[in-house]
Amino acid sequence: MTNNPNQQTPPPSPVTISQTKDPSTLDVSVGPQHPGSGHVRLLIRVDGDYIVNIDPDIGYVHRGCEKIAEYRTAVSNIPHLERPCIIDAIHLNWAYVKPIEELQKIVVPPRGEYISTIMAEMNRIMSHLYWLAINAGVFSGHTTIFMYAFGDRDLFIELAEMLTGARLTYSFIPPGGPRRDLPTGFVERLTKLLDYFEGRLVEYDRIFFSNPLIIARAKGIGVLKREEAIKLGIVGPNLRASGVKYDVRRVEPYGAYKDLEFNIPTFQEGDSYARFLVRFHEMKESIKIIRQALEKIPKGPIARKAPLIIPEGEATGRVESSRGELTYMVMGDNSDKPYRVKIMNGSFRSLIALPYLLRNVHIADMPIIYGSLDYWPVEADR
Amino acid sequence: MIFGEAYEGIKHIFKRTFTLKYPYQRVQLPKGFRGRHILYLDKCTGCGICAWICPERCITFVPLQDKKEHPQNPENRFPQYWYARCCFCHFCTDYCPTGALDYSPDYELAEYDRDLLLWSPERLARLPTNVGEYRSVFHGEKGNMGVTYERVSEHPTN
Repeated sequence: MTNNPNQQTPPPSPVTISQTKDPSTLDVSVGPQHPGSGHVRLLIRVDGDYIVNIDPDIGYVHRGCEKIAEYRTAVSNIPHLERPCIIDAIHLNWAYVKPIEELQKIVVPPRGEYISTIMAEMNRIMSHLYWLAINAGVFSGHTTIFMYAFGDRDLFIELAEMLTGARLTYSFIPPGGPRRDLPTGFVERLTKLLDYFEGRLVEYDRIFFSNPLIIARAKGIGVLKREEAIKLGIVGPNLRASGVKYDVRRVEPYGAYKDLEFNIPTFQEGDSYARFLVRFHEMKESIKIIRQALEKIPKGPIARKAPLIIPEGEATGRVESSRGELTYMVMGDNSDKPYRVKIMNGSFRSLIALPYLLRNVHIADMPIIYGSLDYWPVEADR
Repeated sequence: MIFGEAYEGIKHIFKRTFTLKYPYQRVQLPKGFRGRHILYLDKCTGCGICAWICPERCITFVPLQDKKEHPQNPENRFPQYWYARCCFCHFCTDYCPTGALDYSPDYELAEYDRDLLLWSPERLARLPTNVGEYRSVFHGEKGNMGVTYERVSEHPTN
């Protein structure tokens, strides 16, 4: 060290695991330069090959979405409020629009609800394929599934592009109903794609989910018990992997889900492999839902004209996004801008589970557990 | 197990490719793809609704450089887009009361200079140039289906 007076000492890290430190342990920083983790730093304290303690350091991608939302009109808010999780944009969009429609007392026509449902289930498949490629495939060193899942995801993206005009950030559902009707040739193409994708899921099962190497790496790792999961407030596929049959689509049906039949895949084990399987079976259920919705879709208008003003009051909208229950609270004050927007999402609940799961496990098991939670840092930081 | 993995790799030698050689082969974009905007100068009245709805506030109003008369727009105000900020939500297109804005399939908007991302009304009025010819096509029966990218002209119905 030189004694340069102009040299500034770096500020102390805001995150400290604990003040008392055992001399036999070592602190390792995982991230934030994307070691597979995304924009989050995991400060782990290791003793030999075991993780003793972990402290997730978040906030690298905090953008203050909730505050920005107070300065934009109800419709102009949609593009940036769906940015926190761009691979799951339609659910974030829908959850934001539902409370505004409730305050404005608009009922979306049934055809509009069906189109939103079809798009939402396509988005769930896309999001789960992204998870399968990166968080499950790459993290466990399985590059074949990465190529397969990303290739198939692109076919779904093409169809989303056909319907909405954009590949990822759709901005598809303003208050009142979706922006576009199903284009000509869309139903035939989607039916063909679902037939194709159903065959691919069999292949995925063969090369990934039934692969003895994956089973050996994921089974019994990172067990989240039923009681713990409920206590920590885990939502979505991670909760269903712990044996709790809870799904907003069934508990509080929205969109067209009350007319459609589907199962909620639930597993009792609560380990990483169960979380893998829940998402795999959810993709199958999504195929079922889309097929039913395409059959039952009624004729008529797709959207109603919504007023530009958000009336005074407070409302919440809940949807089941790919990462679990997603809640938007919107407060209005008779102006065209919302008075307050609050986001509660599934990724933040997964983040709470991280320190509980990554304790007394091998370092090598960390990517598997982290990947199985399908944690999306941007959504948690928002 | 080893034979299974070998089979998984070898079978792709006999399959047709799924990828495109991008700058030479372009994917055909559907109607209504939200690329850059097209402005019809003979329809725009300069009302400013597009600038009001724009979430990123990338639209400003400027007069046209040519001294041509536009009877529907007496104040000579036309939208100018700053594509460094545009998020391509196209709410401006949907909210335009006269249909003066339109979607276009142009998405290659990168420039060497930041100032060139400011698109004047005359530049927005140019017709799109991007033409894609390739599209994904499904083959085979249910249960054993494949997919490839093929020229659209060969499969006009798919």
